[in-house]
Amino acid sequence: MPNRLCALLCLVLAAVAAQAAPTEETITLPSGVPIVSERYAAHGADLVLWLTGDSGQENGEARAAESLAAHGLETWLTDWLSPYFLPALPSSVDRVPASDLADWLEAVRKKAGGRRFVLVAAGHASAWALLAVKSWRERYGKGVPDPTAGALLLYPILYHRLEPGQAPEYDSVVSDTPIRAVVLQPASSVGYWWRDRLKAAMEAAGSRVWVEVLPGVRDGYYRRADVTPREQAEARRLGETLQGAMRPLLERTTP
Amino acid sequence: MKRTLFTLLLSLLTCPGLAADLKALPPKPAPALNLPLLSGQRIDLPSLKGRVVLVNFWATWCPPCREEMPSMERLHKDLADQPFSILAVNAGEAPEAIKAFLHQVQVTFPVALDDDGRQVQAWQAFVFPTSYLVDKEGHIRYGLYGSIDWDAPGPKAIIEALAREPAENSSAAH
Repeated sequence: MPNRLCALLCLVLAAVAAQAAPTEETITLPSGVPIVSERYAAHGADLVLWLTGDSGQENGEARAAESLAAHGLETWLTDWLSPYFLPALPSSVDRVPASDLADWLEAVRKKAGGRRFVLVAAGHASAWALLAVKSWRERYGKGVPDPTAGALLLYPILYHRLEPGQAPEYDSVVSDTPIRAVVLQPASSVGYWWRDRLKAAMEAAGSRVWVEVLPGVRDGYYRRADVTPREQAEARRLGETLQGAMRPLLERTTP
Repeated sequence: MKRTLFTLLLSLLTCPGLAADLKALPPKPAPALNLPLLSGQRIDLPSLKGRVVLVNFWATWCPPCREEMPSMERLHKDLADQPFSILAVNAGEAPEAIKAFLHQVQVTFPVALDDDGRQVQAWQAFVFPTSYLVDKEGHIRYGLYGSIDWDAPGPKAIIEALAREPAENSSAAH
């Protein structure tokens, strides 16, 4: 009996390990650029595409991706800076070609077997999520059901340009991309005070936006060096936070 | 290392003016500002007419805000004999949290409490810290997104030049 129990335990542990370990998924785009994703596999009906600025292996994103996958949400962490040899700067976000984002999304759609997407992105990279959807619709969306269930934007920074004394305009992708979106906005952030403005701008473009405030944490709390104990605790449950926040996006029955 | 870089990047993202300088703006009347102070009193910006006022929007959770605060205090002391005031407007934090910070970084200029963020919005503070220099006539003349060393020669010279301008229709209040 103990031997059987031991074998069973080993099987369970092996299954858990297999589930947690990401695999590498490379999609070479028509432009020739190889886009590498860390794939946290799961068998659920939805696919989370997390557009990020680095591999994610060393930070809270990887832990959150594991958690999402454990709850049936397959998650791809995709680095959009390294393939273009871009530094981790806000200005780099604009240098990723929209056509590549669209081509990648189409390639994922073909692999995804009808699963719906939730695009996740943070800060300035939030523009990638919107741009990917917009460009996909333009290039591939005619006559094809939109696979995007929505976007989950963490502390989105979507301004076109910031100058003191002027109310900044949002990047044109905000008005060009009607989408169902959840904005996760840390309360300890200047964005907290402007969340309604962003919601209004997105909804004026035909989007449906839910804003969820995260009390006691700052932008990027799950990967900061100067993390507070509260942020550390919240970072540990980032996966659950994302999963809960995605609920309104996944409630739709059709893409 | 990666986390340190990320934090640095976050500072750049949320604080694009980190390495920038005060930007001259087309003069326009400063928004009305009447707020409670941490000390329990109230501040009404028009009561400072006749003085140059540095209005600074900040929060204790914002590292660049914390970093520039000591230089603001030095500036405040350096220009004590000039018609110049500093007003630090805290965005939405509990007085206890602000007091805990000011126990570490002591300042002698007033700290106002913008509980509901109305002033953040009226003054278009899209970045923390955001600072404006208001002239003796109550007009915004310079703005800055991000932090600087306030007692460095550049910003100090700008403030001193504003302080030398005649105050035409003002009755100086201190």
